[in-house]
Amino acid sequence: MGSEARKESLRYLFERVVGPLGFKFTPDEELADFLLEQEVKLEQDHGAPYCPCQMRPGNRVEDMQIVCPCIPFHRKHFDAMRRCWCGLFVHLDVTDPDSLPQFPPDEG
Amino acid sequence: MPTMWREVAKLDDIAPGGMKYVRAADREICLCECAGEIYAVSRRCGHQNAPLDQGALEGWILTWPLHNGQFDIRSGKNLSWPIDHDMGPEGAIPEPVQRFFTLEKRLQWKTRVHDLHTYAVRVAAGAIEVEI
Repeated sequence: MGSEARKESLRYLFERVVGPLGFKFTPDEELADFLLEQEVKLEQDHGAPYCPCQMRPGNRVEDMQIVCPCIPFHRKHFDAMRRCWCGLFVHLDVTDPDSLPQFPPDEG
Repeated sequence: MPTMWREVAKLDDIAPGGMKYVRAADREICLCECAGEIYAVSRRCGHQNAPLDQGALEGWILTWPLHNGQFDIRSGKNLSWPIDHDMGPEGAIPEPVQRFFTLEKRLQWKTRVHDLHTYAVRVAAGAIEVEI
């Protein structure tokens, strides 16, 4: 089982989920590939493609809320930033992801 | 061993994005429809033999019905590992059952997952034929 095949399948599945939520993959291909690679490793080690940029709280309910794509659980925060926490997904109209701010949820 | 094309179903028998179990020449085959194409893979999961037509098909990704790993129906390649069942908070599970799950988990990770066998498919006059 190769990580390239898994990355391709995660990309395929995620696109179908995030599109209707108003998001798309970041146009920064290198970043997207790097983050997907980390998710594949997390899935291998921990059973699910957890967000590579957030710490798992350690209980099932909260852990599940950071399984990628975690947009539905952090919608208000991500909409305010127009990106997800990692930057793997951005709002559909974003063309320059580097210009988007990243701030904690309580600073929106 | 020479192969031959065998009609296994009619094109109308399978819904868009759907799956159908057929049997031909003693083989159990899972037909899958994806974006207007028909794919044929062995029906038995390469992990623990579960019938894959009872899993879920999302485009070209078939999710196992038992342990939620995935296969690529185009190549038969295994894409992911088995996922443990979520049985809720550990404290709520009786101790003997917990021991069983621990053992099961250990065995799951030692169980090799095989890629699926794929079959060549053609459609002729509304009939799906598979090369066996």
